[in-house]
Amino acid sequence: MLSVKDLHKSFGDDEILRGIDIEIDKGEVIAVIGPSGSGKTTMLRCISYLEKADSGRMEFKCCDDKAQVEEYDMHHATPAEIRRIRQHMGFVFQGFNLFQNKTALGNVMEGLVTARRMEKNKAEEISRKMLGKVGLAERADYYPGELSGGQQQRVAIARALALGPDIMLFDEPTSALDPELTREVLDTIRELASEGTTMLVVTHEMSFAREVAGRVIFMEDGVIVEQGAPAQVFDSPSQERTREFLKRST
Amino acid sequence: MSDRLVHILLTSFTKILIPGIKVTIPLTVLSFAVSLVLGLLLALVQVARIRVLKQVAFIYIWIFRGTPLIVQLFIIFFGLPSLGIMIEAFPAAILAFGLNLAAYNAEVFRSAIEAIPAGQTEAAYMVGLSYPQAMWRIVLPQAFKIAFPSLFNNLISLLKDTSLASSITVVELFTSAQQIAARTYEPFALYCEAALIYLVFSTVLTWLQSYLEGKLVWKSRDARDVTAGGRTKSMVGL
Repeated sequence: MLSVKDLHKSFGDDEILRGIDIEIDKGEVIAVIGPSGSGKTTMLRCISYLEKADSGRMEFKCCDDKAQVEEYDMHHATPAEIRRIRQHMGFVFQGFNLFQNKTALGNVMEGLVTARRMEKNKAEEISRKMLGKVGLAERADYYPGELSGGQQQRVAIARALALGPDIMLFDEPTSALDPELTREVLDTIRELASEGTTMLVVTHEMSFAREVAGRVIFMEDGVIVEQGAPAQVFDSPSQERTREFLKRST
Repeated sequence: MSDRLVHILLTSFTKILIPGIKVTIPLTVLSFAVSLVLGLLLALVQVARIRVLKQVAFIYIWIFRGTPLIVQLFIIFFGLPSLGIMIEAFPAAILAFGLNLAAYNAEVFRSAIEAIPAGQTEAAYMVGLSYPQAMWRIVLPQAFKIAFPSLFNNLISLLKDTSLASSITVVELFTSAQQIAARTYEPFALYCEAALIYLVFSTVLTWLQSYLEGKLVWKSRDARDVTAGGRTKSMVGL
């Protein structure tokens, strides 16, 4: 469904991404693991065009077998193209980034009402359903400051889901949460996976990656070192670097 | 205190208060309105980094913050006529105060906007909002809340600064006090009276500020929160 080829990104003299190739099929759940500074977050941000890649080719082809393939030059993508590809994506940030001046319901509705120009009642209906899906129906009228971190992140997930994206991108969704609140968010993500949602999840939660992901990608120093089924990558990694990393992390 | 002085104080009170209400207050409100709109534009132009306008805004702020208000007043009212531009006293005062305060308000707005975390706009973009939509719906409301105390501070200062309009023939609160003081030869009493009326006005504004700040809070109606652990704690406002 989504493929990225030869993605490069440097910040000044630091080459963060050194030629990343990644492919995601519909319904796949991919976990990206790796040490800090490996470029995992930068990769996700380049894919969602929150950062402008130095070079890279992106291809998006969805579900209906119509030969409609969208192609993007990741460095030269125009604002209109970026808007178009982003419609296929939902992004969940490490820091939640809920709109502080809107209630939970308002947050979820915002994209529908303002960007998609949906009629308010319809948007509200969809939004309430999404909040219910993440277990926060009774918190619809609360402001982000009145919600716990786990609740905020779940609202953020509902907000991304409400737009019906083809692929959900998660940037370390539980890194800012303490263990107690991490669980509720992981449960939500696990449920999404069981429903067949296509997801690319950057995470430090190894056991979660093993349990939920269909494929695990290990990144280090801006390259993909190894990828494969969780059992293979975690239990019998073929690369020394993967072994080193896993040893350090458990 | 002699009977005469008491009599003067009592009769002059309304003679100073009425111009205060009919001139000083409208002058303050209108000038502030101009400074808010212009200040916001100047800030937006810098934040959005619009090429030429950004430079213009920078120079504007530099000049209007870098020169005295009374000099700006004189240039507009006494100076422009020699270039063929005649503006009446009251509008000239509004123009001068508005242009001057806009420079200060622009900085208030700009720093408030820049204080909003980038994550807010990033999230806005990812749910499909355009830059103007993200600004209008998400950033500016939050920035306004941050800017509010400083903006209101400038408003209260402006109220006092309007007394400078007396130097360009506007008959407002201070002018009236001056005129009566000259007529009755009681400067101390009259100027203290004028000061008192300004104090009453600014106190009202200060109360208004507290009241409005209380309203600028994003809080749900049910101000008690049940946290994940089942505790109940009351919200102290945000």
